[in-house]
Amino acid sequence: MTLNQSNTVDMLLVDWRGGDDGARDQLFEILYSELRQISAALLRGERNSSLSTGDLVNEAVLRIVHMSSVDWADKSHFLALAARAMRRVLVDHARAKSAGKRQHQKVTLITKFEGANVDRVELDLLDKALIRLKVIDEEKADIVELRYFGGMSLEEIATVKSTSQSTIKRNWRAARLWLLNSLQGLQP
Amino acid sequence: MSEDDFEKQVLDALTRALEQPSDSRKAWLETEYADQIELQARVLKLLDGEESASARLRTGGARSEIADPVAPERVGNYKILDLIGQGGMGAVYKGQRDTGDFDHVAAIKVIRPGLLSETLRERFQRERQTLANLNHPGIANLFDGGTLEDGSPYFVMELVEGISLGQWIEEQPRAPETILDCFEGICDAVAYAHQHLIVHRDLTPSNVLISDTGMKLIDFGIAKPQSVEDLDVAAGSPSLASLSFTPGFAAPERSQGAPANTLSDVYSLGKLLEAMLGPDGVDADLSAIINTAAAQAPEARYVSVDALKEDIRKYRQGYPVSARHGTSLYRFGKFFGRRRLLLSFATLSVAALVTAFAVTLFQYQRAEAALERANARFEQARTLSRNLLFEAYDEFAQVSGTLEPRQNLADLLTGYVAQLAEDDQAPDDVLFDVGQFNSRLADIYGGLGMANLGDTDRSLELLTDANQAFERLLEKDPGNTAALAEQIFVQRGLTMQHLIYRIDPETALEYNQGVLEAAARGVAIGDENERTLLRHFWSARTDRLQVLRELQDYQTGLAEVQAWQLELTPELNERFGGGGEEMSAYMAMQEAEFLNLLERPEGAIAPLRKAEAIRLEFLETSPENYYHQTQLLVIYMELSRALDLSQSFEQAITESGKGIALAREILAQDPSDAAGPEGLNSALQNHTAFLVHAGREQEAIATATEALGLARDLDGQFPDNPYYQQILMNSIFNTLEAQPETPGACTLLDEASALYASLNAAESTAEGSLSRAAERQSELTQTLTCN
Repeated sequence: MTLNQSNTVDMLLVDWRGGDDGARDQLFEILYSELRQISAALLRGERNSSLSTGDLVNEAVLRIVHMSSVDWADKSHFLALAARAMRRVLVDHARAKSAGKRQHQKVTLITKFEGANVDRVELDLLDKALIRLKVIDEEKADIVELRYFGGMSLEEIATVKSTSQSTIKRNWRAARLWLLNSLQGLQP
Repeated sequence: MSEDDFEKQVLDALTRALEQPSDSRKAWLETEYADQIELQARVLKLLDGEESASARLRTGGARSEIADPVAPERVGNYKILDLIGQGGMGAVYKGQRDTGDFDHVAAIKVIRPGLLSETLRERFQRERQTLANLNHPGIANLFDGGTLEDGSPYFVMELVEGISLGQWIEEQPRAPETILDCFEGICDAVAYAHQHLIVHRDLTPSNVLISDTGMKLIDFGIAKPQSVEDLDVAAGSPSLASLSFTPGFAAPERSQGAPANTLSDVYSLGKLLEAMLGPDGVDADLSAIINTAAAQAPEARYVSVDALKEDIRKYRQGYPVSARHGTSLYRFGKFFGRRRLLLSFATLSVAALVTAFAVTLFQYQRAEAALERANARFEQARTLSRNLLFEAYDEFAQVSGTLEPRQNLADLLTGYVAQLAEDDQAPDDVLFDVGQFNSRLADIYGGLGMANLGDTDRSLELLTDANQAFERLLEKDPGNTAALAEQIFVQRGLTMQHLIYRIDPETALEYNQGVLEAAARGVAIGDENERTLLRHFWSARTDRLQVLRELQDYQTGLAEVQAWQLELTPELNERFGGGGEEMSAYMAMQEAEFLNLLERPEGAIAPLRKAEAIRLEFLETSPENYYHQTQLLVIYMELSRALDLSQSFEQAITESGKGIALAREILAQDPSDAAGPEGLNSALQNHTAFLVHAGREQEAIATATEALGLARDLDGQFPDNPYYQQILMNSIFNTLEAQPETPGACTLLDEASALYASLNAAESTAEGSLSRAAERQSELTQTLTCN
């Protein structure tokens, strides 16, 4: 990230706050490409895998913008944008992976650990369910994006959504139940 | 209304329902959305998912769903070559040993970090060793394991190049012989694991690999702690438990939260066989085998994998399979549980119910105190020890024809314990285990008063080994009162075995003397084991009384038992932690017995009345307590004997009548318990003698006839059993003594004489136990003057 690009991001941020949707879309593209780089390296196993999704988003944001110069509300909105970018990165990755997986069948050795949670969520399917949820209840779909893909805290989401943390929490719990139920129906 | 609108309403209702306390949500929905049944149902369905939702969609959880686990460069002594496969739990790599010592390629499983709780990880570390000990051609070997720097646990396993059993079945039709060969291989591997106290837990077609060299079992489900299983059951939440096994192959009780055991593996094997054979390959016999193995009720299944395999073998050789034709496999029950209190006396004593019940006391004390603790230790030591060494073993023991597998199991465990004991530098707790394991094994081979393998020599050896282990431990740590208590327990076993099996009261007396001294020393230390040691001390005194009786030193026995009773103060009872009353009753009865033996029956009455009062008081609170009932029965018999000896025949008949009534009660409580008819028979035989003495001939004949009928039933139920043959013989003598002119008397005498001859010839009959029978036979021969 050059100083020049960084200045560009700062300017775009100012424009976005001024209501410029074009600036928002440009920011999204920058975030997306940044996140893709970070997470690709990570998903290939080249880096410490203990970083959470939230860490990644924060790292990407820090790399492209001087957070010290951004106020709290802006930061939250910017994180929200990053969460959306992260969602796209991860879903893309999941699709690419599941396409490759079907090509060869291998004997998979899994030593069972009873009591451990082994059910995986198919991101591809979750994305589809989330698109439907957005049609039915946009607010809830947004919250899932911010929390599940962006790793954002209740406090951060409450700021973005201008509502109370308890409302966010309730909506998150309801959305989660609805999504998991939909996933059962979508299971291949 | 469109579907989206409906779903919007559903989500609103769901969000509001989540504000309600979880137990009142249903009622709340029913009131709030009274006219919208469909919506209610949908919301309730969604709420069902709450339990697992937070684990599946976590804050920021998205990335971990697709992140490939980071392939480590090396794991332990292995360099990672390739990714073999991956799943929810982690990944499996091909690894090559690169320490230069030897060339080796292995499969290395790395579990995703964060999947296992701390408890599960500890468990995993502990049980890895147990798995590593499994060394069988049908089980993929576990070579090593550990934890990577980031906390991911890993296994180094045998690399099996092959396909899953599921694929093998689908690939092409297989001949029934090939399928059964393969299945027997699986059974062998599972049986081997069971012998090593490991349950597979998840036998499915994907957990069996078929390679060029044969089949291999993979994926032992090792790491679910018992406490988690307990929690599942306690919380009544089958969902947690049901996540951890493959539906269709898992035993039905497991979805109720029951822990996995050897019988749940038997169920899975049945289902596996069904899947392997397919719908067309099953005839009536195979179908019966599958249905028995995979019976819904665990107690209806084959008791072990060995039993299942045995049936497969019979089927292949064209013999009738027990699943269809036999019932002997399924003989479980209370019957045996109680019977084993007496079973081992079968070959030991004449109808000496008194002695039998005296040993019941020994058993009772063990059960009360020490055995419980021994079992608890075992439970900690090995996940399945209870199942295999105790329940499974005891179940085996109740089924005829399982002698060989039982012997194998015991031999295997003996070998294992011997290995443990070989280590001179073994830490104290290992020595402790060695002592306890040997003690339990001694019970299995020849435990007194319980079903055993009948190898009393081996049992005595094992007790001696156990004694030595504790001796070594106590040399290092003389103040270890826990070890001292265990050693005393073992030495009591040695005392009783020498007394009863070896009929060597002198050696028994030496051991007993040692026990009394050691227990007194231990009590003096006065730590947290004081109470246990005090109880041992008094139990050893009861042992001593039996030894003295066997030595016919009635005078000493009487003097000691009278002196000891004075020590049984309320203060001592408090130090005992209760049970002093029990001891008083027992001592009083012993006193009476010595007095009777010394032909001083008048003195015996008072102590017997005292013992009777105590027993009746116990029975007041627990009327069906088997132990107290049998003790009371012995009291009535001793009491009537004392009265009979004092020439108070009518009173003797009254007391003896109480004994008979009690014996009938015991019999009615559990008609399948053979001790019931035995007790009644014994009481009736006594009663006959008193009736004869009182000149009440007709009643004597009726009583003797009833006793003889019971003896015949028992003999028919347990044919060729010397113990019941003795009872039958004595009952015949009794009948003939009551009424020498009975029709068919000579035939009866012939029958009794034949029984006497065969018992006398049998090696198992204890020396001297037939001397009274010999007298009765010759007397009757003279009276009856048959040809």
